[in-house]
Amino acid sequence: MEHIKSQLKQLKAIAPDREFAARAKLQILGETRAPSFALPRVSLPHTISWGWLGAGLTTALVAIVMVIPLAFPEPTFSASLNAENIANEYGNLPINIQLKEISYEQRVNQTIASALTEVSDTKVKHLNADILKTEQAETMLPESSTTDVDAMLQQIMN
Amino acid sequence: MKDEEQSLIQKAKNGDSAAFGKLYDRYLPPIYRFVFIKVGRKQDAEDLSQQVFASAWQNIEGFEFKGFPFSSWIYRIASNAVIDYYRTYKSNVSIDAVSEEHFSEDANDEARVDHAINMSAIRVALTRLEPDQQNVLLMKFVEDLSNKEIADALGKTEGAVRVIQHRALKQLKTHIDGTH
Repeated sequence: MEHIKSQLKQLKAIAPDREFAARAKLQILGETRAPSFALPRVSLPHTISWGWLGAGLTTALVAIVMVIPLAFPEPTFSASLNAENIANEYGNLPINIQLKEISYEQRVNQTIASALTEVSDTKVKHLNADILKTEQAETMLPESSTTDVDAMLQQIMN
Repeated sequence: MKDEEQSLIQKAKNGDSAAFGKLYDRYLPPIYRFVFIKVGRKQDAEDLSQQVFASAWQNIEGFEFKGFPFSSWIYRIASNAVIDYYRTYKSNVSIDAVSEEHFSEDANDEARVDHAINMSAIRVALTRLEPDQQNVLLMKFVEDLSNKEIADALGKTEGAVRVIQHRALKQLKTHIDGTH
């Protein structure tokens, strides 16, 4: 076996050409080294594998997503309890009331004015006393027809 | 030695080409040898060696010490380059193509001829081993790497390296004896 080993050691005699060695060196060192875009390596302790780390991070993320809404509850805004809306409504309330009162008073005034005008105007036919008497006389119906009408009304009501 | 190498590596990581040049001078011979023994052709060995160091220069920023020797890192690049070479070309590489021109220029003529004859046999036998067995024997007995360095380079445990080495030596002896 020692003979084999000594034969193997003879292979040490193999050597590259000096010319090749120099030429290759110039070529290699003349090359610009490409910029490294590799991501920084992260070393993990031997007891932790990437798989376990990934599972742990996922669990932590899920837990955080579940806990955040409990820790910071989102305030609920009811339309009826919204202070801003209430303030706006309250601010507008007297104006609305006043507008309605003004509108009502205008209508009342107009009605009174027209009523007074009609009362004071004796030329209007339906307020003329003579015409009213005339019309009353004309509308006086005979007694018999009145009796008939009463009887018919009585019959309908029964 | 180790501190000096660590300093060179750190400088090279920061873009110091002169520092990487010193690492190149130190590691080119063993890497070239390792590649040449596996591919058996001078031109291919030169191309692959250059490719290994070009890749090392481009990627040295990603090298981290952490008890992982630089030698193991560069042998791993070389080993992968050889795997890609065979996967791509599937060429019939003849180990017999070795001639004395590949040997160190420091050796004298007679020694170079003897080396050529002996190496022919050992290399033919080596190529008949599994790639891992070849790697372990070359790293252990040609390059004198420690079992830890070999284990790091091949991504195996030191125990596995010892087992591979034991089996490889037995098998290599069988192949060499069979050729005589």
